[in-house]
Amino acid sequence: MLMDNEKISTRQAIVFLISVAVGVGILSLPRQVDEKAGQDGWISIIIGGLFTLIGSIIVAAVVSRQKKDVVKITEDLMGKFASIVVGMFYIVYFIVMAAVVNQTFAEVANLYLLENTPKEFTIITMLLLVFYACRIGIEPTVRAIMILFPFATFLFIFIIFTCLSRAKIDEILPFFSTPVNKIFTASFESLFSLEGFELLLVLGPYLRRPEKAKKIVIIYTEIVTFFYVFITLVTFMVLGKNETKLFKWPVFMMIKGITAPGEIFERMDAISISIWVIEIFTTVVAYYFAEIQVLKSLSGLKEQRYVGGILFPLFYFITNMPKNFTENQIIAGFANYLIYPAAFIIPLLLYIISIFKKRGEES
Amino acid sequence: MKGLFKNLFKGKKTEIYFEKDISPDKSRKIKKDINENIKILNEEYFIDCDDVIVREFQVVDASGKKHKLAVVWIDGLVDKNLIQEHVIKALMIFARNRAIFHTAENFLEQVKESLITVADLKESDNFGEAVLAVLSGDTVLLIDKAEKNLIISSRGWEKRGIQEPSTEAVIHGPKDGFTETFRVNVAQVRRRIKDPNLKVKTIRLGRHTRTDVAILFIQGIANPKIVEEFLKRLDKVDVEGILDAGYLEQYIEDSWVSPFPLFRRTERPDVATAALLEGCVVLITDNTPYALIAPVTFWSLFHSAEDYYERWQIAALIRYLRFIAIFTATSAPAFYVAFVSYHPGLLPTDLALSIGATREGVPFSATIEALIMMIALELLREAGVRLPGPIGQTIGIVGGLIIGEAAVRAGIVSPIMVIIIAVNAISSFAIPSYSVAIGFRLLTFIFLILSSIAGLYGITIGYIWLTLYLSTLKSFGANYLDPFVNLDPEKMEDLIVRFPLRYMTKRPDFTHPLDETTLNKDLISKIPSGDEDVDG
Repeated sequence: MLMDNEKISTRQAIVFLISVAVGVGILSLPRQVDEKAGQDGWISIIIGGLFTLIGSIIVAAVVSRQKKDVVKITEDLMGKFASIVVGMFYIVYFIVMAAVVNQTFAEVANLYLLENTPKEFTIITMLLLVFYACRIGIEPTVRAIMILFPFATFLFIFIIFTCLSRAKIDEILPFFSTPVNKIFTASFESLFSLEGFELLLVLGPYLRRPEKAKKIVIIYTEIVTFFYVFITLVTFMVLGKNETKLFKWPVFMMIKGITAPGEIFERMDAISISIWVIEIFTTVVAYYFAEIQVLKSLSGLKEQRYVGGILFPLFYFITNMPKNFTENQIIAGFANYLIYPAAFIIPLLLYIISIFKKRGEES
Repeated sequence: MKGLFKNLFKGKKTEIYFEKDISPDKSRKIKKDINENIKILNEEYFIDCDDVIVREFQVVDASGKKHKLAVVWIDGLVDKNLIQEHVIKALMIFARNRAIFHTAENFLEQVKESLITVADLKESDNFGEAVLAVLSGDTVLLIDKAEKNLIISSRGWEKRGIQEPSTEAVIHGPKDGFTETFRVNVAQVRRRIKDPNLKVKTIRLGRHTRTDVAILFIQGIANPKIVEEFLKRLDKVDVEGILDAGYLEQYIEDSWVSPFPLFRRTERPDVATAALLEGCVVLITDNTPYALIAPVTFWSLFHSAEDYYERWQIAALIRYLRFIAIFTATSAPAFYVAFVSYHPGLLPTDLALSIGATREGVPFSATIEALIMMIALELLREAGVRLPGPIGQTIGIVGGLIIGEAAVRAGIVSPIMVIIIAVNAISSFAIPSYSVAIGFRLLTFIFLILSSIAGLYGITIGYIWLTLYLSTLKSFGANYLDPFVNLDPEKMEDLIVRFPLRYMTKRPDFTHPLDETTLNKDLISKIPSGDEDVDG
């Protein structure tokens, strides 16, 4: 290479991780927290953000110590067998996450965007894009995300802002009217939307400065939490604390109700979903890459193009598994449980062992 | 696996050329006898070259000794007046009976130092250089018994003068443009940078055309790695001919698949100069009225020289307009099709109704309608380019007004479609770089197809794909989408808003310049307050 600008810079890593976290959660998070915690759901998200911060700092500590991906780190610390177990677990985890996201996306697109198009079409086009992205490699994809994601998020927030004209602040007042334990249980619901930092576990070898991982995750947590709190607050204030839980996708219901400023568009729902496609793409592509990276590390293969090709039918099959929204929600619930080991327990274990074995410490 | 494929498809390598013979073959020395030399030139090198003229003459010195000489040149390439006045006349008339030349060496020295009155002249002792010089428009003076010849720079063919650049016109700002003449072009840049650090490296490319190519860069700003890469790539260009810098561009660019140019073309010496100051490398090719600039980013292709000559607010506004133009140039018809065919509910009711009313009686689907109009427009444009000026304009009027109007009347297309296509075409011409604009014309078709398949979703997929593709492109080590890919606020000073010049303190990042700062910030900041004199 002519110039050393291939590796992922710190700023790029921040945007990349945020783009993973901002995805399906936009649609359903207000409903999830409203179901459990009512009008104080947004406080649950802040608490969820605190959990995220703790978990992500542990992940960052592991990565900045070892500067490798999770399989290599485990192999280094606990031996070959443990690394295979951990690797297999992450393979299942990433594939389930990607499938849930892609499936939810197909569901929504089918509902609001392309009524008569079969779901398989949206799934396969999305997977083809993701496949193309993995053919060109992670660094160009991250560069593309640096343009796509801020652009999409800016537009999305702009659309949300236009909803503010209908907001009523008394929908969220008074604060802390829900029992604290309910707020806490709701905060676990929010983790599915807030997480994304565990991708750092496979990003290690691509980072230009892995020692700055802590900075990455702190900024990541702040922005993601703020973003979700903002969206949830607006949804509560516009739709109402009791009505939010009635809708499958409350945020879209909210957007559907408004006319674009200046009446350029009668409704904004299809437009906001087209923009949201970008957010979904950034999420799915990250999981696909993570999957490839884990497989690469496990098998010792070098060519990620071939690995990506092998994974394609598997992703397609698993994404197509649920036949309707209810089945999808069951898988999503299953994925919710996988988050704890994937993002919290395994990194913590690795961190403790790496401290005991004194690996990766600066000499 | 890969090796197997390679072996299967590896045919016999056919080398057209076994060695480069672009640089002159210096091994064949000039003979002592002038008649022999003329014979070699006439019968070996310039056989059947009727445009080569060999003029033999004699000089008689004071002792009555005759010295035989000959000048060789190509008719039409040289300034004949110069040869007559300053070479032949100077020697035949003014040298006559002037002194005694004892030896041929002595004569040569005298001719060189005190007889010939031309500015540029050099000595050579072989046929290769002499022949190349003659072919390039220089004149060779052969001297009997000297074993050396003199190469007199006498290039003076008919050429186009410096004119205003036709594709990059500005309202304010310099109006001179590059021409087809190599030296004039280089000189126009040199005239703007009076600094010995501006380096001009000249090489010849093309076995038959032997085209001069100059690599210009500023030492101390341009990254030596980039310059080296340029030289390395140019060195490998072993081809028959370079007729235009476009050939060269396609040979040495990073990706031949890309629909977008990985070089910036400019007809303006001031743009080339600005690029040099940014740390880019500029290629000037003979016979080409534009220069090639690299490395380049996608966004810098949307900059125009005037952005920097006008006030920054205006420049910023125009930048925004161009961003909108990118958007409409790629996807205006696609959005129309998506809204009309897939999401009519999104349009304001009145507009939806009026579109519906105008589409009443149009037999085709929106996609076919758009395709008909786009193809018609492309045809008109192509026809307009081919035809001479006034007729080309007539074609534009006939096409735009009459055919558009008639098509609407005949009920083949709806009037709104005509508006959409017109907006699309106008936006693509609002992009300063023509080569980018035609890239966008291509994309319009792709986006139209995507949108006819999947509506707004198809368009989004198209944009994601386009961004992914663009992010793989590189131009001499610069990311094509730089500096967006870093989101570094410090590097954004020349992007979305063109910062006031006094705040544009750093060179852009993508060229990896050796020297980052462009101005003395402290002194500049004192200008408005006027207390510079007090301090100083």
